Amino acid sequence: MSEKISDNQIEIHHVSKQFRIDGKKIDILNDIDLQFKKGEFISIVGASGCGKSTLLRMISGLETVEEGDIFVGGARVNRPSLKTGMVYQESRLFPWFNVTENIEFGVSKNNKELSDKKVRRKLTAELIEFVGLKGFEKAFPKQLSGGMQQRVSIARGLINNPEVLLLDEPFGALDAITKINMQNEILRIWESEKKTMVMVTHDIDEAVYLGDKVIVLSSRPGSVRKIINVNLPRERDRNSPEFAAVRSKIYKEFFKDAKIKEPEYYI
Amino acid sequence: MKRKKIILDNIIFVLAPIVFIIIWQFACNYQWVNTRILPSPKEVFDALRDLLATNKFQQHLIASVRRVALGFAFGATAGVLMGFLTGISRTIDDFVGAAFSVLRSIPTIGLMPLLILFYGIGEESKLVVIGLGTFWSVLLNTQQGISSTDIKLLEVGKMLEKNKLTVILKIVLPAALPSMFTGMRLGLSNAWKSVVAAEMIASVRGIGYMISYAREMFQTDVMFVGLFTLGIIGLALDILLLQLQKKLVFWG
Repeated sequence: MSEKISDNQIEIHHVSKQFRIDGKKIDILNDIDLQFKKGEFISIVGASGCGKSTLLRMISGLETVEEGDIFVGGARVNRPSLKTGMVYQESRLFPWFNVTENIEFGVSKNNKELSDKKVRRKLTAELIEFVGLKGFEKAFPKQLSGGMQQRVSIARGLINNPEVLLLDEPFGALDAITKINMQNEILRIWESEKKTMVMVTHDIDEAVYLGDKVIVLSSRPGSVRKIINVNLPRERDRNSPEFAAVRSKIYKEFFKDAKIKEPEYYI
Repeated sequence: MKRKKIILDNIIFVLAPIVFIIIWQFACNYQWVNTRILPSPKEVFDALRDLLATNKFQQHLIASVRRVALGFAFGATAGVLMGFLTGISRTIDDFVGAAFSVLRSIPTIGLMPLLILFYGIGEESKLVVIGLGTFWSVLLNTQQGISSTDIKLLEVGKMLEKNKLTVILKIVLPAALPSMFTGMRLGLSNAWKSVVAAEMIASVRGIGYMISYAREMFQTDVMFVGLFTLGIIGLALDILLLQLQKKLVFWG
């Protein structure tokens, strides 16, 4: 297949994935076919174990693509690259590095622009300010709250100026209030940086609040059940009837098989 | 309430040994015990004063500490290096694994007669015994520390396209550091025990020799000086390493 296929930032062509556990083959993902445009915010939701994180890891190059193809920025993904940054649920900061060192550690050896130490320092300082951690440059992870740790992790994910930022349940471990703050924070970053963001979550409210599109995956093996466009202007009002309508649509997809009633309260 | 409890605990901590020594002194004064076998605290103290005055105590202590320092340095360095090589490379681990498992099970002091044949009764045989005593615990704990490195952090390294050396130095080494310190504390404790045993078998200097010689001379007070010295120095060395650990593993 040729390098450049289209203007899509991410192309996922008929990707399936199996894991071998104790010699048994287990289907994780089944024939995923998706295209994400440049600058889109994509939410992927699905029940736990549906393979949504695996899909994200395949886009990042951490997991091998054996069946089908994934292209990021026109190039086939076969290993991690500068083009994608990643933010995990657990901030995955190095406890022995302070905030500055943790962010600087994110600089890839292939990043020629940041090979100069001065440039690197300057950009790191800018990023620290950008994610709202000015004054905490020398703080160590254990001195930071969960939300602050996640801000560091986001800054680390951004330092190579990637085309795509992948978010693997980034706010799943935060308390409700911090979570809402961080959702607004990631929106602000997305709007100012114009990056393509792909977020995996099991929080439907979060998926609708942030996403241009919400991809609903079926349970294992994960396949695309529905793609829902969220045509609501930002900043979105979680309590508006329009928001509730989209949310309700996703809930129905989510629980199509299981006869579970939609809950009355969210968050 | 809590403050009071802490103060009380501290008082008990200091007071208990003092009370113990007073009772011991009384027991000796009133001949509740056989003072030919158990010297009184005062006799032990006098023995220490005499040993200090003739410079003998200092010579024995320095000899032992010097041996431990050298043996520990060799053993710990070899243990960390070997621990890293076996922890990182499967091939090296397979190559030496079986041999190490057998050798590790031999009590190091049991090697002393063989080592005396090899090296004579000079310093080498003692250093080897001390070094080995340190080596095994540092080796095992280093391996353990490396294998317990958080896979999630290693994955971050992979995602950030770090080369192997960076991963080892910036991720694996700090992650293994707490375990390595545990190994070194155990190793130092082993080293201190081994030096005494080695000195009792073949030596003309050192705290171990001092105790063993005092037994021949029936100087129980000198023996007690030696035993207390062993306990106090052993504790001091452990505290020293613990402080160093707190400094180096500041994130723990």
